[in-house]
Amino acid sequence: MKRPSRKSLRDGKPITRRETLKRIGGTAVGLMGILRARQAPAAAGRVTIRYWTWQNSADTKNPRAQAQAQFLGAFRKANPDIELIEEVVPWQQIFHQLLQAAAANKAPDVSKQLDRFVRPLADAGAILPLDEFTSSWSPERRNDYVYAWDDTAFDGRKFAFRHAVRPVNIMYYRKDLYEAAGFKTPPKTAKELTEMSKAVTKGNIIGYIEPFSKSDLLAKFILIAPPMYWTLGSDLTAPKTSKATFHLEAGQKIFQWYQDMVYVHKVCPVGQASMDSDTVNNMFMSGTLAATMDHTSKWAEWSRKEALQGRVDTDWLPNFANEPKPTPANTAGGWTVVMPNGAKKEAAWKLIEFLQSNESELIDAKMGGELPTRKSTLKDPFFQAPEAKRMTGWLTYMSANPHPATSLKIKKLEVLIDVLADAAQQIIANKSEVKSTLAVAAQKYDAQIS
Amino acid sequence: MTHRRDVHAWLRLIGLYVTLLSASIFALAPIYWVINTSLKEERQNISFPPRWWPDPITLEQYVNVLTGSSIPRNYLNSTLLAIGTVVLVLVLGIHAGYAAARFEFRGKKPLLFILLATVMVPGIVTLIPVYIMAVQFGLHDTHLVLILVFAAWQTPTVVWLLQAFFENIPRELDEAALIDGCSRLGAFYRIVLPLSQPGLAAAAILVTVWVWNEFIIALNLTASNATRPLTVGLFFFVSESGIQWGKMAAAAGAALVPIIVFFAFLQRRFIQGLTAGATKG
Amino acid sequence: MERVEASTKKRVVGGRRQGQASSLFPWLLVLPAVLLVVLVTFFPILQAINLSFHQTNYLRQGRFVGLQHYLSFFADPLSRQNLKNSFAFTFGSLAFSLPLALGLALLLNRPFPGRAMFRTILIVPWVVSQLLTALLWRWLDSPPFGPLAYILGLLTSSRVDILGTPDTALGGVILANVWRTFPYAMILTLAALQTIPNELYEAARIDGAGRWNLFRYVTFPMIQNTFLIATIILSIHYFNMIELPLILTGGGPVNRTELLGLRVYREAFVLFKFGFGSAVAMIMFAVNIVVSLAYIRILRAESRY
Repeated sequence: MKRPSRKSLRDGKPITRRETLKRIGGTAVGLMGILRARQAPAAAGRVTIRYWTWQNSADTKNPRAQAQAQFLGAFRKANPDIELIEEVVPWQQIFHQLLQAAAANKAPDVSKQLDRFVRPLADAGAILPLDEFTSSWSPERRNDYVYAWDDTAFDGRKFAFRHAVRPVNIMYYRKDLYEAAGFKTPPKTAKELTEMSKAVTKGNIIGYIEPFSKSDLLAKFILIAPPMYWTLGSDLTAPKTSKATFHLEAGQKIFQWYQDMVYVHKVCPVGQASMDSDTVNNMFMSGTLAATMDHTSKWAEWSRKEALQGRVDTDWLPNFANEPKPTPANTAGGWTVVMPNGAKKEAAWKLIEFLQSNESELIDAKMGGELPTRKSTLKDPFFQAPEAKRMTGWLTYMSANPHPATSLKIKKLEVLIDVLADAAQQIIANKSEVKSTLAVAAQKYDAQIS
Repeated sequence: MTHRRDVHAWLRLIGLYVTLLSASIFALAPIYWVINTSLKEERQNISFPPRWWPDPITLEQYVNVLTGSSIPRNYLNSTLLAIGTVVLVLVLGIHAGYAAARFEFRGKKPLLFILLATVMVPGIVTLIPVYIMAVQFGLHDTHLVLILVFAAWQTPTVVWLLQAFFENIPRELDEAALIDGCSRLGAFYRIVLPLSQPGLAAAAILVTVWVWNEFIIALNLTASNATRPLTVGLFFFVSESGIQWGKMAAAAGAALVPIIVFFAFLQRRFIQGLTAGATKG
Repeated sequence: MERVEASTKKRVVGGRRQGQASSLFPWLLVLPAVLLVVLVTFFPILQAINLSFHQTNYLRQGRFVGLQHYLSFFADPLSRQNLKNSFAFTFGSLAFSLPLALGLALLLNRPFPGRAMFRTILIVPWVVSQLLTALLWRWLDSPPFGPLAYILGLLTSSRVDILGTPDTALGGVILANVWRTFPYAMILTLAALQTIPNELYEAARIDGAGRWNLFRYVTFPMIQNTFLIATIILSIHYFNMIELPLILTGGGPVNRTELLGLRVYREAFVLFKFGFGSAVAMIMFAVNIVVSLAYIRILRAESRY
């Protein structure tokens, strides 16, 4: 029997398939090698730390992002032995991503977070207390903040530092739309807001919208809800027991107002139950929405937009008790920096310290329109200049209308947001009865925090 | 009589084209809209009524996306994951498929059933424990864990597909090689495998498309730009862009165009992969 | 004589050249694949079942609670909504994608100028990821700048918010879903159609069959099996879908588009209730098993033709 020689077998197609596979495999291994080389530990003596933020330093159109690029650049210059890697994680995801990453020991070394999520992070053991670094501070240093030390401390341990302070219950309104309807001043009470919104709502234009989508974690509502409740003498949860109080009389008034705005006054669209804050902001910018509540940090960006020049202005959240008094300032809703894992503590702490430095805060104030967290920063002449008038006005309001930052101490905030969103959506989209819907939501929340 | 039939034929042809044209518009409209939006200047995107074509056309959004974000890195990751998964799946699949096609052995039926039964398992059922396992083994946020998970999900389909292809290759060829002194595996590698090139290509393409488009597993098993694939990068970029439609559309376009081009060039094999086995009997 | 016969038999049967030892050989070939699948799929299922019987706090497993999670799932009115949504979504999507696929496949069956181009265009949605599909359709549907919302707004002279209105939101998700998945059924059906030999049509036409009868008695029986397979695969795919509705609507408004899979995802990865999430996932799995078994029976019955 004649054996086909190996040579003749190879002449045909035979071996090539395997070789191709091997070649692809080899390429893959090679690519991974290149990747690993790129990620190689920094040159001898250099420490690499990862910083999670939702501002993209490469975004030239966003003043806050530009500010970040500058102060992070200043940090790098001042710390040549630290290699800082920024990673952009969107603010809607950054809490969950940090929880997951921390559980897997793959968390970054420093992370920016919305301050209302610091408590859940601390409870989950995802972030480290910073007391070992602050124990040596003098009392003057500790008191150099415009906010209370305990705002970001839980059970006596300090977990985060504010990265900026924002009195968040600001109302942005379109001067042009209000003036066209005959109003010279913005609304100061809920009643006025209702009246003026009604007058403005016609055709394409809507007077007011409150978005209640879960996908952005009730970003707008969770900022104004606490002051709304405070004005009415209540709060979202009881400070001592952490149990729900959002369903009591104050809450019923608030949600009834929302429901009436849809069905009685016919201002808000039913669809607001599933809108997110981006959609609403978009409408505001394009001239189809007359007013929206948001935090002070938006001013820098919006005031510079072509389409809004001279057309937008700010005032305070209208008083929901319909009294001619200002609403207590909600200074929560700012952002904080936390330290998730302990691998590179010293370097991570350097970054956290730098972000609170006068230098960094000044850059953030000048370029990004953010209020500094430290009284010593405020001593800079920049804050005496006319361009800083709006900002100092916010600070004055804050100190004139203080309120303990109870919203930072809410247990399992993600659950509260979930049940509130559900309740709000039912009240608005299904026109369900306010009292019972809120009661059910309160039960759900209480069941999960025990 | 003939005249009426001619008119009928004409009308039917016109009807055919109109129907197919409408269906094509349906199929392409969303894609057209995204490309349209991505080529416009930002302020044109919040104009009302919407503008149906860009004027002027600008590439600034794409430049923005490709230079000012992690998207290029995400591209690299997706490519790596695709290659890695395809290699692993093919290596596992050709051997298992060959065994299934050529051999009868005890436990074959239940084994194959286990393999195919994974089609019945919704991905979300295993995502929670897989996440926990990845954390426990320290594999969270690595390329390796993604490749392993992706390969596990794609292997059953590929085995099924390759089994069909191998069965189509006459046993006599194996036998001839055996007679000539090849080992069993030798016969496989030298004779059968090269002839199944269409099947391998089809499998590789199907797996590539699936891996390229996979999102939820990657979202929960990665924690850094070093490992995030394009889908997660796109999702983050869109969330972060807020209301900058042009930017979002450019990111979407950047994710869309490669896969459509890939498909357009390889559609024959792709279709073969989809239909293999399903048209048996 | 016997020895020659024996050796011939051995060769013909294949795989038994070395007697007993060779039955190990195919096992070795199959084992790696099976091991990987078992490790990533079956083993985790057991873990998930275990998790579903325990209380959890973030990533920590707590005490054993038996069927508590399952009971609270069924007691929750939202769960009924989830099941309703999942079934409505599945049937609604099938109701549109199957006829569309069949119709287009029939049109594409016979050659005509431009057929290849149309076929390519019509498959394109299938290669788009669920994530991208959701983003694209969200942009199309969102008033006032989305073109679809704009067109519908013109037609009804009112503000149309498909995804924001509770009664139409699921329809919007179905639309996006049908867009992406009809090509799959179309391709399978087309492939099956192409295997029907022309002689069958000729014979039927000679017997005087009209177009409808041609379809009913010649075409459909031949593609029945494939069509059934496509239906099965698509319905399982639809029932278990997460990414598309997650990004398109997030489950809202008022949970009208929260499919069962979305519920699992939200409970597990947003609210970090892994124990409860696993229980709901098991319920989803159970539905899958029941439906798949039913399908397998139908397939076996059909293939007895």
